[in-house]
Amino acid sequence: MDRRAGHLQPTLGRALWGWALFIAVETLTQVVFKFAGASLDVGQGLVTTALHAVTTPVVLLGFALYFCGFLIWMTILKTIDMGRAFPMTGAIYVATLAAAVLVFHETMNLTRIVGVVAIIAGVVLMASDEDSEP
Amino acid sequence: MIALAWFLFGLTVALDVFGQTMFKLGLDRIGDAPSGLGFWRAVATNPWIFAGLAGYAVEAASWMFVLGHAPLSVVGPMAALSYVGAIVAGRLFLGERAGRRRWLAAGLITIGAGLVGASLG
Repeated sequence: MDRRAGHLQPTLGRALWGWALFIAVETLTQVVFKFAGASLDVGQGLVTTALHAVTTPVVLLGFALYFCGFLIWMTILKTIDMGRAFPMTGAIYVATLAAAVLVFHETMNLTRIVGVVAIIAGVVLMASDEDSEP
Repeated sequence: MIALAWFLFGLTVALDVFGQTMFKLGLDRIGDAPSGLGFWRAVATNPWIFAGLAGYAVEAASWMFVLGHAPLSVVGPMAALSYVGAIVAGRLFLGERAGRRRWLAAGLITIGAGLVGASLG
């Protein structure tokens, strides 16, 4: 699986910048998507909603950000295995939770906090698994 | 949270795993990846990656609706369920063997997602 790693190994600094940019873009995408989703009313029927969607700037911005996230993700996935790269996206969930509280003023309760802690623990445990290569 | 939002949440997770699996299958077929423009040309003309992107487009629309009708602090963390899906898909379609620790992690994420979903009351 690591046969390509030799000549594609990015420098550490470049890799960190890539991840930082990826996390920032992904979090911003969630925030923009929530604004966009709230502005859509599917009760109008699918065609009307689709037409409304493609003419709403915040929806288009969301899709543009989503596509940027894809391009950055492709460059990350090019250099490491999916099983290794995917759990590292866990940092996005911390940033997203902060955005939910700060931007949308969502309130937390104990069950939710315990659940999120379990999810993050799972993601970190997954990310720390070094013995997964076939 | 309305029933349609829950259904579309499930669809979003399924399509995310589908997209990731297609991307990896496609990138594996590109093989000794050319760098720079050559890499992106190979990506743009790869049918597996195209299929993954098509799934991503539907996923994005579906996710937009879900976010518009549910708290970000609920469905955001619950989207981690796609990690669980990625392990299953990696095992089934990519021949990636996950160790006990990774399955334990998948169990933690599943329990956590259940708690977060239940926190809506």
